[in-house]
Amino acid sequence: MVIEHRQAFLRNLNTSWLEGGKKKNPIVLFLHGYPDGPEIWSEQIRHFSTQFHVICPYARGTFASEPGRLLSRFSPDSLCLDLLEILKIADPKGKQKIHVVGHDLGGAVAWRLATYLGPRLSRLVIINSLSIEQMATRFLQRPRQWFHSWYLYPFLIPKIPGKIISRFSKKLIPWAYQFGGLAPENFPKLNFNRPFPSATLRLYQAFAQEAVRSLRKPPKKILAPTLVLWGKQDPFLLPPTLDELESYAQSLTVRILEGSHWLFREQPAATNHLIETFFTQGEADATSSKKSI
Amino acid sequence: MYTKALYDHEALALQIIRQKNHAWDLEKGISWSTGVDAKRYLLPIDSEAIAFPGASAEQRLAISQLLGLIVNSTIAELEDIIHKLKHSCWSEILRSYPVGPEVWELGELFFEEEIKHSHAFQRYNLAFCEGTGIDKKDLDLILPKAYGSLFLKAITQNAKFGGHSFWWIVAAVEEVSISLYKNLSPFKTQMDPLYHEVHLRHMEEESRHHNYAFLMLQILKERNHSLSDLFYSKTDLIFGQMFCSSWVLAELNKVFDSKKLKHKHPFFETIASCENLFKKLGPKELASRLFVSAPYISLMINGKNHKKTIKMAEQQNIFSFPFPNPIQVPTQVEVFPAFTQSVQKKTGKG
Repeated sequence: MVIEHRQAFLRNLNTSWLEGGKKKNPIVLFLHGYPDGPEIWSEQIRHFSTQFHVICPYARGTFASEPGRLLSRFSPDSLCLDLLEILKIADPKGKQKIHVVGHDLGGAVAWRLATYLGPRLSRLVIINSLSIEQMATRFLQRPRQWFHSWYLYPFLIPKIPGKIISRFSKKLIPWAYQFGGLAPENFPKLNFNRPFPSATLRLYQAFAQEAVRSLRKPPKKILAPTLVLWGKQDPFLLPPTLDELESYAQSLTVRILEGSHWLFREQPAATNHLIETFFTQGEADATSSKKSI
Repeated sequence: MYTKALYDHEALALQIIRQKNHAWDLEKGISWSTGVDAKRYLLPIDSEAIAFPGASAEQRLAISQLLGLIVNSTIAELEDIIHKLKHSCWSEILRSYPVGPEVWELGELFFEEEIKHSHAFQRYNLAFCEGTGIDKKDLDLILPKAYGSLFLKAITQNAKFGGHSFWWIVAAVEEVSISLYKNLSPFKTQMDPLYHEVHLRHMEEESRHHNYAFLMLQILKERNHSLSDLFYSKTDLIFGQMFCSSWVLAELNKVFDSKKLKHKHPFFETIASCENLFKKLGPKELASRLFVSAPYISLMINGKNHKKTIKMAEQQNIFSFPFPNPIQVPTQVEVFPAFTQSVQKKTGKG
């Protein structure tokens, strides 16, 4: 199984991603969160690249994806446009069905990307994440979330927190993983020989602006079947309620599971099985509906 | 206690298959055409005939049958309440903490089965009336009813304000149902076959789904975090125990209304004749008997009989009512052909 590191100049910025699996297979797009990189999906890449065309982009400002100067390049819509450009390269004819899996900030992008993909989106999987709209509503309706999101507030300050994290990343990043419930043996491979990107925190700043704007907009419903997996021992996010989610997905399945914020990392086999069953159920449904027609 | 089970979706999926495959049909799953054998005991009783020491053979048979009908009615009423509170006490909980689709599906099955059980017990009581010539409306006057009771109002209000006594009561009812069958199964060849069959079918499904109440209690434990949630979590069990036990005792009192019906059927006349025996017991002895040793009644009203419920409460540091320790007394079933002949002469049936 060969995983390639790909790079392209997309929308005037260098953008990188990992790619593996056969190009004729349906696409699975894995979107990571913070402070992760695509390596966080290593167990999923290994598992799914045998049957799918796997793509794992580096989030804007993360290591190999150039940050750019403007905050607007970190907005969810801009990130989605970047992802659509990647998908055009991966599938020039636009014929392949796309499954999207998002975690943390990547999950927020996944919810937004689903609205862009429309009928091309086959399945959406969200792991310990809310869309920007859901998060904004949650802050209004569930005050306890304010306490769980304590780390967000310094992240909203420009430049200084990013520099602090970059300077002390060797201690802060592993601490963040442990605080999130991930055991050290499940950490992704961390390379502290390169400076940890400070620009990625601009994602939080851009998303916060978008969250305020989103309060005035009605929810957009995703038509594709959606699976939400949630490690219940997540210290950053309260488990979701159906009231929070069902306005955003026509066909929704929610599973709260024993696990941390990085559920897929600490229980890769179980998570892979749930995701794979969810994906293949879609193919079975599609096959049976073709037969009936 | 049930944390692992709650998140084991494969085991829950297997449970769904098992429950669906083995579910019995209300019409076809029970031999209703057998009818009720009015000569036979419904429940084995102790030597003191529950709370009627010195009862004659005829009285003991009537007491056994009345107790059997009371047990049916109590379980039927409680299982009907369960169904009525489905939205506030179940779907709202799962909407706020959506563990997984299997828990939803098991819940749907659970409520379907509970209402089926309620109908089965009510149907048995109707069959008893048909077999003995008793008017169902007369019998209903002395059997427990939950509709309009303070108990139902209390549980409903508790649910409305965020409490979940409901699930503690359900957990206890599940345990009672299974224990009840264990008590009567040694006498299955001597008691009324239809009564035994109804309780056997009931026990089969209860044993397959009895864990559901505990799964829901586990969800509540994991979900509840506000101060009011904490308050309710500590007090729901004791609240449920107090109201449930009080309701059962209050409804048992209706038995003495049978004296108003004694002219209507020999069954009521025999029951009414037992009142003098009951009066021989002092209040202290009566309380002790009902809570400690009276078969089935103690099982229903004494929370210490509900071992799994108590165990879960202990693990969660929840207050339970300080019931006295129950005592298991031997029970028996007798066959009384002489009584049968006297009933047949009076009613012209048989």
